[in-house]
Amino acid sequence: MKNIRIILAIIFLSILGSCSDFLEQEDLDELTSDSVFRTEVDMTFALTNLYTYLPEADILGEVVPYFWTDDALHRNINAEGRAGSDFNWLTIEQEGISYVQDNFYRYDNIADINFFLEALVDAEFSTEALRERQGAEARFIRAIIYERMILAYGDVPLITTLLSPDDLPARTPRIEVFDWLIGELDEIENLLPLFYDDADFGRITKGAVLALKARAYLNAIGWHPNTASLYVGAEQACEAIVNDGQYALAQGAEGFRNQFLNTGDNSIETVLSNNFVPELRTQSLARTFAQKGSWRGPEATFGNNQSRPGYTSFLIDEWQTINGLFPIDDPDYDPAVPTANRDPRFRAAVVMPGDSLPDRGDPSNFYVYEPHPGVGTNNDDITRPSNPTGYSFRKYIDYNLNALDRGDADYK
Amino acid sequence: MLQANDSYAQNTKVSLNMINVKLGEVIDELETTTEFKFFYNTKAVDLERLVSIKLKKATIKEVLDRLFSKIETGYEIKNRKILLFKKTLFNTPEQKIDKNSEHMQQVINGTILDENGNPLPGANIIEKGTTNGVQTNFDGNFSITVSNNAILVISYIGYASQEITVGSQTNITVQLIEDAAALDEVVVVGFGEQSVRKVTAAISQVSAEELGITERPVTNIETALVGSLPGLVGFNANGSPGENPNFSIRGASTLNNNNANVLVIIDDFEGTLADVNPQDIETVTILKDAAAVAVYGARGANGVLLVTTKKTRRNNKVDINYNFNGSFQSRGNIAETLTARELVAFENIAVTGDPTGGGDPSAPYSQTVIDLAESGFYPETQWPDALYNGSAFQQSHNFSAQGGSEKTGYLLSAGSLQQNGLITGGDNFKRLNLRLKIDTDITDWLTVGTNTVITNRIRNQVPVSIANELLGSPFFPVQTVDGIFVQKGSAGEANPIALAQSGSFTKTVDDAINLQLYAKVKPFKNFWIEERVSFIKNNANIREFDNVYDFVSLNLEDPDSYTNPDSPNRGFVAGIPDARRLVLTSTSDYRVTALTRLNYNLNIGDHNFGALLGFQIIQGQSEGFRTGRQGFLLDEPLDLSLGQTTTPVPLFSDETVFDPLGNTSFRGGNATTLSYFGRFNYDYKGRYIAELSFRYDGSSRFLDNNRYGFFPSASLAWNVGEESFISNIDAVDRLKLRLSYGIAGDDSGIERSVLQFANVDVTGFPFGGQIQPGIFLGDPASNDLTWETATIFNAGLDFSLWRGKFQLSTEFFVNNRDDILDFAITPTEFGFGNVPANLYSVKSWGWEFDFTHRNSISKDFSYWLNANLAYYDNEITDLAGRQSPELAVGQSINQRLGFETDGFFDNQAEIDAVPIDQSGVGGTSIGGFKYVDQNNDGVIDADDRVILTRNSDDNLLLGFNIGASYKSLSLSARFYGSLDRTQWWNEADAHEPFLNGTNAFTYQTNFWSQDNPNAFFPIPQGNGIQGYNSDISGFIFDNDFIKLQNITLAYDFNDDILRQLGFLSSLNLTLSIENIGTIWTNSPISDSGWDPELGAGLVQYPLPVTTSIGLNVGF
Repeated sequence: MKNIRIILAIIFLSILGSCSDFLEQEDLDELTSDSVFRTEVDMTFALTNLYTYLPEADILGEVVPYFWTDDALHRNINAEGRAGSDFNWLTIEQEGISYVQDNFYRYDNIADINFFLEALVDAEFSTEALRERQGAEARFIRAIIYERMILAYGDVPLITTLLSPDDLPARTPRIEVFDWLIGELDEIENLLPLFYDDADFGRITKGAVLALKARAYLNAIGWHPNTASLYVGAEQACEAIVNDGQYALAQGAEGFRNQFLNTGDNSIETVLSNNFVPELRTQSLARTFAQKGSWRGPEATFGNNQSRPGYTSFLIDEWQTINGLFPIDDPDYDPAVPTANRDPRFRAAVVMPGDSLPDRGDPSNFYVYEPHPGVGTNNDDITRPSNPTGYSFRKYIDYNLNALDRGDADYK
Repeated sequence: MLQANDSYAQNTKVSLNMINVKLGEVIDELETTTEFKFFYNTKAVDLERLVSIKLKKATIKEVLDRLFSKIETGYEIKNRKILLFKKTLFNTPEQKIDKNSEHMQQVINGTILDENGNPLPGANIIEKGTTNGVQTNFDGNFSITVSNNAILVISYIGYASQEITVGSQTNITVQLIEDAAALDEVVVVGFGEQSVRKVTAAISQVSAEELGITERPVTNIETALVGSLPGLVGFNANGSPGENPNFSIRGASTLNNNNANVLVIIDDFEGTLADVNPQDIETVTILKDAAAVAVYGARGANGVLLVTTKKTRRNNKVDINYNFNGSFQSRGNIAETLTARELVAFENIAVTGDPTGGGDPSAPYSQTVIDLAESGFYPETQWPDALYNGSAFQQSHNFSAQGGSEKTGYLLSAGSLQQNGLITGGDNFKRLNLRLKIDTDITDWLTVGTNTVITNRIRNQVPVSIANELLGSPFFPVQTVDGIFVQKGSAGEANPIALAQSGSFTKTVDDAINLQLYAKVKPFKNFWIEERVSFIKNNANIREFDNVYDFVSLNLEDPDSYTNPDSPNRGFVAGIPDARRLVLTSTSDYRVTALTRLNYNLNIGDHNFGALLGFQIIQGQSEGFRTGRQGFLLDEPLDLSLGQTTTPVPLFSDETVFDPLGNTSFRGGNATTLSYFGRFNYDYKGRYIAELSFRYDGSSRFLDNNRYGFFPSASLAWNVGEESFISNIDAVDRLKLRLSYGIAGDDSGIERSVLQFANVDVTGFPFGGQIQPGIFLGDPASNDLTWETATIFNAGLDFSLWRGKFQLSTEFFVNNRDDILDFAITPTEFGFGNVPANLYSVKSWGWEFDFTHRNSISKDFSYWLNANLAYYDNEITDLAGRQSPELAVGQSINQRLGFETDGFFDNQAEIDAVPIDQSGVGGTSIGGFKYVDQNNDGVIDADDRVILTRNSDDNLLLGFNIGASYKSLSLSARFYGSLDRTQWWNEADAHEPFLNGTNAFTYQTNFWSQDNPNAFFPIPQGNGIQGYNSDISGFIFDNDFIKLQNITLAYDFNDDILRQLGFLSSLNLTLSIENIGTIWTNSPISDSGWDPELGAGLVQYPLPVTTSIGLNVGF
């Protein structure tokens, strides 16, 4: 019986002994948030992530404003049923339909930036200058998001601190957000360098701040009560960019074309870009724009190029000629050959019916892009699921890519 | 009288040390410690007589001589049976000596049998009203001389007495029926066992024998369980080898999709059913109400399924058993598609309105094609049929040895299963199981033992195309005459047969080791402590290989392209080696569970107390990695290193996200739990029973504030049948009322949601052309999360009539599920997304019936029927203020929301009569759907949607089996079904006839016409996607079914034959057919090859019809 008591005692002790911290378990493959956002290295990585919030190289991103104008159309807008796969100008929620208006409503990004800025205050940094610069970079990204938001929506809540889940913020008048935005840009303008060394190339520069400021002023025309001040502000900002002497225009039509290919990365014309590199960070603009009948790339895993957006004939008809005139005013313009004698940027921006493109099945074969119904291959037929006008987007299409959804050109 | 050849009696050694105890106790002791079974008449043997006996390693004969030498009780030993009788009354059991009787005029010879027709030795036969009596001998025979018109009273312990009027008979056979009330059957409950009589909770149990596991060619226990237990809800999902049905217990009860998992406990520890060899199983039990699951606390809310495996057999030399089962699997009906001629006509109607095309230039097929179709040129390929064209072999071998000495018992079992699949291309499933159980008494108060299992499962799968991927054109063959695969119809889509045969595969190898060790201590009477430790280690290795294949496209207008390899209308596409891809995944995990149980029983007079206290801790860890390459030059992926480039591989955390660097890993599974549980029962005479049980659960998933949860339950039972006012009624042998109330919990789905994580993205953003990593906040955490709870009320009634001839058990329950986990919606401007929270409540309820009827018509013939019927329903009771047409308080969990349709527009007048704008749902046309304008605003839009089906689950479920045995032959059949099943063809795969432009299913051509106003579909509009809104009542169809799950015919060779063979102790042969198919359904499309169990639209892997021959040999 003695043995039993010993056994009992052991069992009992093991019960008590195991209680204390047995239920405290650390996660084995994830970091808890309170273990990071503390050091300079953490904050540098956190800031890197904020750069992914720069304007998106995606049909749902910066391409959308084209559809707000009469310059371009998208075949799927407001389409019902299964073909309505991209977006709708809807205001009423319907199951399974995303509405593109949301895409500029970026409070998830704002929250991350505000979190970063609050963590920045207490983080360990080797130099205060670096802390300031990182803060300025983050604030720039927040500013560019707000600039897009007031352009898209008008009044939006101006949130610069962390909210609790229960807060229900009200909309701030557009002009207050605008004034805050200009104030932010003024403040960070001088916290950021004119240029970076090679390792940091691609970060926000003073030039980017000035360029955003100029754009903000220009985009405010139309709703801002004091139009004159907007022109003045935009002019001053642009003047400052010119005076800083960091940038120049790329040379010739080829230089312009290269702006939208990976060969144009780091060009002297670039003030700010959302950066891409092969394999690891790629964008799919080329697949989105390219014609259904055209080459997809040797490693393409998708079924089709999409070719959903198209320019309207308004844009085509008003694109200036090589003489700097509207086609209608230029006697040299021949409507039978609409591509001739145009501003060279026309050919870099538009795919026209009759253009020769590498074939879907074999890139060494070229076929004639022919969107008219009943002519040519029906892949590109505008009555089928393809771009609705036949005038297609050309920028960023690069048939040399391994797959057209894996573009690595920086987005400018 | 000891027979010389009786080896068990000679070899068995008994030790006894009992002073001044009742003879009955000695017999009890002998029956417990040995295999001997005593047969006696309580009138003939004085069980109360006090005896003292002290013997070491004596034979049974020595024991019996000591016990009975000086008194008037004789004994006889045969095998393991010991017959006791009164010497003065009978010289031998067969002879009756009664000199008192004056009127001995008639000699009656007879046989007494049990329900199964086996002889009952030691039964008493007494002439009513006299002391004239005899006992049966070992063969159940007796002979008695009685007076005229005598009545014989036949009795036997555990059986109901019978009175037989002799009349002029001289030879009678009487079959005694077990007395259910007297039987103390035992069922498995959480962490223990209980007598059926004293159970207060809602429990259903089925034994392997009742399931016919040994005879049926089932590959896993889940398949065998479908329809067998009231409360176990689930059907087969598909027939792919290695695929098992999924169950819930008592239907849907929560909105949290993570949480529907039944807790599976195998021999006291959480386990995986797929790892269990069905042939090792003794019983399967489901625990349904709070009283039953409370001891499983935070894991019990979804019900618990207990599997108990076969036990060791002490004092038994050895029982060796070999079982072979060889089966032939074939395919039942499969979805039918259109022939070339039908397809041409159908598409012509869709495009031109005329089956011939009517000369319309837009007609989809040229005259050439029409002529070729008419001429019968086309191969008329039925692609689903071509993919599953096979028959396949299946076999299993099982070997077991059970035995043991007085102090040690062992069980050794080995099983092997191989099942080939029906799909062309060669899929299969193999399983090996080894189990070893040993238990040994180290001292009289300490027993130790082990239960160790090793399982190896190998599943080879080939790519299986379902739905429209499997639909191909009837115009094209699977292969050309020169053996090249043909494009099935639409460009860019794989030929499903080529895909299956291409050499692509997924091979999954699962290895599991489960080691259990235990020690049981009995320090004093009625008390024991047991410590059990289980170590489970799982390894899984998965090889996924995507191969490529060459194929040609043929021109359906050019017959020459079908046969001429050089035809200009033939396109050849070569597989690109670069697309060959191999992905390897390896995961491993272990779990250690320590379980301590203390058990105490106390009987004071008629008051019985029992207490169980337990403590359990669980910890473990898991990890895995995955890597891949592509660009294999060979068809055979010998080694990963032969791949030339990396390939993106899916992440473990989200299989839809790919790691571009081609490898990934995870580590986790280290959550710990620490729990205390207990059960206390009290009963008075077994008549009034009360039970309390609880669990106090601690889990590392929660923060300190909610770390522990307490889950109590209380239950009562009243054996009304044992009250004097009922026990007098002969017909009733059991009537019991049960009530229970309590709480169980569920912590699944919580995972690590209480902690705020930061995520690292190594491919963050490039600076200077070099990628820099990014860090960002993960999904928002909630510190306040707590356990989901289920508060369950259960009432039950058990009824048994005429000595178990009719038995009925019914249950009714209400389950209130609270704190259901979901995400609390936060304002978009909050920015971090929705926060997990305990939000909703759901009430579910239902009832269950379990009915059994057993009867023996004669000595040779008996039959039985067992049926269960269950009904469930549920209602959302709280949605934390979130309300939408899709989800609202008062609705059920799985309702159907959509438009009500009122048939079709049959003519223009009908359209004109009610001018309603249907443009938002596909327009208005003759032969098109007529939508109901619910809000009378003249427009059909989202506001016109209504709840079409309140609860779309299968909620009225039926399972039954019938059987009969005649002599050595038995025949049984099993059925299951659903009586409120419906199908909704709102998914494109079910209703779109031209989804991939190659072919349609035959039922999809049942469209509206003047002659067919009650069609399934409207007139097709063009040969593309049909424009109408498909979430409609018109697409809800009946789908009730009853399936014949199994028929088994078994022949048991009798002792005479076995004796001639000499070395066998048992031998039986079986013929068993599994998955025979639907015997009744009201599904309108079952005739065109759609299995109502698997549903419409998706051509699931069909369930194989398995015909097997089985052989079971005992040595």
